[in-house]
Amino acid sequence: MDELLAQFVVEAAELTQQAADDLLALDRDPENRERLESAFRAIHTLKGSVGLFDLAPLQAVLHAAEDVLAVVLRDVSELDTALIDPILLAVEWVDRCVGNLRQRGELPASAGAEAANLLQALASDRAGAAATPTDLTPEALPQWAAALFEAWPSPQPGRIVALRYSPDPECFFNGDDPVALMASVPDIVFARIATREPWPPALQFDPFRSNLVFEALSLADPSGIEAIFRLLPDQVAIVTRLDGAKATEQVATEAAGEQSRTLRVDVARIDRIVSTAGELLAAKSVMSSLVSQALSLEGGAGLARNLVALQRDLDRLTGQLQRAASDVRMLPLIHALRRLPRVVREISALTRKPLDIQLSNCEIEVDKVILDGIYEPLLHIIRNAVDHGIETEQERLAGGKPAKGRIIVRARRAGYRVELEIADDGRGIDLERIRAAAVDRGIISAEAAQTLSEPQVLELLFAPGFSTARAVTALSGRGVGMDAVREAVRRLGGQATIASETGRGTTVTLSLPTTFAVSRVMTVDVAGEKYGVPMEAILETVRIKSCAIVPVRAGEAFVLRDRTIPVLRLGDIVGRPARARSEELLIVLESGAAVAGLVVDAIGERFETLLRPPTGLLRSVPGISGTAILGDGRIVMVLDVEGLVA
Amino acid sequence: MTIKLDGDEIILEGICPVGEAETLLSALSDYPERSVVLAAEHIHTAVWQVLAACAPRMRGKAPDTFSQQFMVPFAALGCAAPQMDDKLRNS
Repeated sequence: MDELLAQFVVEAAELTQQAADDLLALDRDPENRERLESAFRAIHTLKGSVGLFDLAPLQAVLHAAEDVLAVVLRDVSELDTALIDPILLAVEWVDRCVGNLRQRGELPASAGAEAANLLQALASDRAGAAATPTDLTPEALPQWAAALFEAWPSPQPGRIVALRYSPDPECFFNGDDPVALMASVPDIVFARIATREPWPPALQFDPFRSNLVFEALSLADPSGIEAIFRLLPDQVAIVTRLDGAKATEQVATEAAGEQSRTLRVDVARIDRIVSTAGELLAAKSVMSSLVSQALSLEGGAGLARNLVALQRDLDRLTGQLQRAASDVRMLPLIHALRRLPRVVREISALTRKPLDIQLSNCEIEVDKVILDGIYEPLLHIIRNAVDHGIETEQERLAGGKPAKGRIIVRARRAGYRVELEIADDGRGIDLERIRAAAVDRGIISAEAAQTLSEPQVLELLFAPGFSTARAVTALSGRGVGMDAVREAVRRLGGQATIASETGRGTTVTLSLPTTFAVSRVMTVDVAGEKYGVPMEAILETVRIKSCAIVPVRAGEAFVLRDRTIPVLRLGDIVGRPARARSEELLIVLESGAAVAGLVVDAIGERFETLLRPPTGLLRSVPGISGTAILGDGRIVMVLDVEGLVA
Repeated sequence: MTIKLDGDEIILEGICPVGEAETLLSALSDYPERSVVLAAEHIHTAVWQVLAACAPRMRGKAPDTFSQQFMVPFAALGCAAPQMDDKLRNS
């Protein structure tokens, strides 16, 4: 794809999302001018970008949508919510067209006809719209003033005057004394002085040419400042900002939007940095063996001391590098969640249940892998909530609830983890129905079902193959149950739990890591291959006589200090069973309350590594929780202890 | 003369007009090690520019708050002084 078009596709996706977000916010709060302006700006910018390509249908639709908003902005009127739907439809259509562009490099064949329909819808809702939108663009602060306000953030809101004075190079001959003028400006709180040209060497320096530029912020009356410079209007610019707090915000968005202080980088490049940082971490672990080698040398104590000091520095620096590299991959949760309101709107239309979704604390940052991984489970939880939890409008009104069903997605930081709560205010979970369904599907017996406690019943929802949907609906109940949600979350290193209150609603809580911290891993050998085992899961390693392992029902077990521990043979698990031996080496693993002994051939080194969840093909390999890089650059698969032991 | 030489020091006194810029420039180019004593009631921009371009050691007090607060630190930067951003040149 043409590079310019590729750039446009990325930008357009962001702008349509921004516009859609703003329009949805306006739907709830039609008086919100900021949202109105933001939506206008997004559509206006998008229209401008579309103009660079041969995309006439998009251009026409965006122009019409922009006109509708322009009229509202110009008349300082409240946005009629009836206008939102056609604009939102237009924005979503543009989004789809952009998706088509990304995949096929062209608009869908039906674009022309669809555009005509959208234009009609937009026109019918706009009463005598005038096509003069460009006059209405919110006037931006000049860049120098924006930079100046940013350089000295005002501690309190209030009037503040920005002044930029670039004396004419020949001004000394007119009798001007710029420093004296600046000194007469009252109430200067901040100033900076720059040169027009770098200072030349003394011999070439012409002391009678002014080479200075002054910038200052003053709390004084702007008219007084204008009076000081009244004879030099061509050399001075004065900008007054009234409400400190509000304008700062504007400055911030302008600066972010136009000076592009952020950088778009291909994730693959970032990943290269992260994995190099990981390798460095592994390579660094060789240092400790160098220290012992040095110690074994005659008179090597001094060398060893130096190596230890170096190792400490290296530890600190690799730690910093690894943290910095991981930081780059951190993105606010809102990137994954911002699509939810649109989806909920669609679900609402489909189910004829009025819905409202609230997102809170979504600025918490998580690693991109987590971010990409949680959208699907979240969507599924929300669909479940609407399908099974939230009642119809009539039922809700009869039950004394607000007509609109409410879904709240709330993020909370909990140590190094983030907890995502998805709460609905529906009817809650009918425990009896769950019991009946579990018996029905043969998951448990009728007697067992009656003895289960409430948490145990709720736990049944996560059982593989469980789904209480009587009919397969368009939304959920397509055979993908909460077990899939739990599995997806577990693969990200997270947990899913559910709580419910009859008549009040259901809350699903996902606890997720925010990043992939450094883990200590031990390697084990089986059939000539190395696997990693997270150190935190290892209780101890034991060597026992083979005859101490006894068959128990379908499996095997051994007794360790009066405790019976099930035995797993890693060779069997990876499909390469070991021959009979007189002695076996076991690692005792713990996960939650479960314990198991894992038979391996040998135990290898211990090292620190960045444990990353499996991606691509590895994702479908059971029993693998991620990959780690050894000091020599080899990759080992790290065992999923929870999956093995549970 | 409002610029006086006193051993290794150059003293700025009274009202330093634009014309003194040249005197100061030659005094500082001859002996860049000389330091400057600020003791004037007024220092013209042209004189400040010489101070900024040569960045000599300075002591004493500038004639007004603006000069003391902003011109003295700027002059001390010498060649390290910030240059006007090209993007902003025409705005």
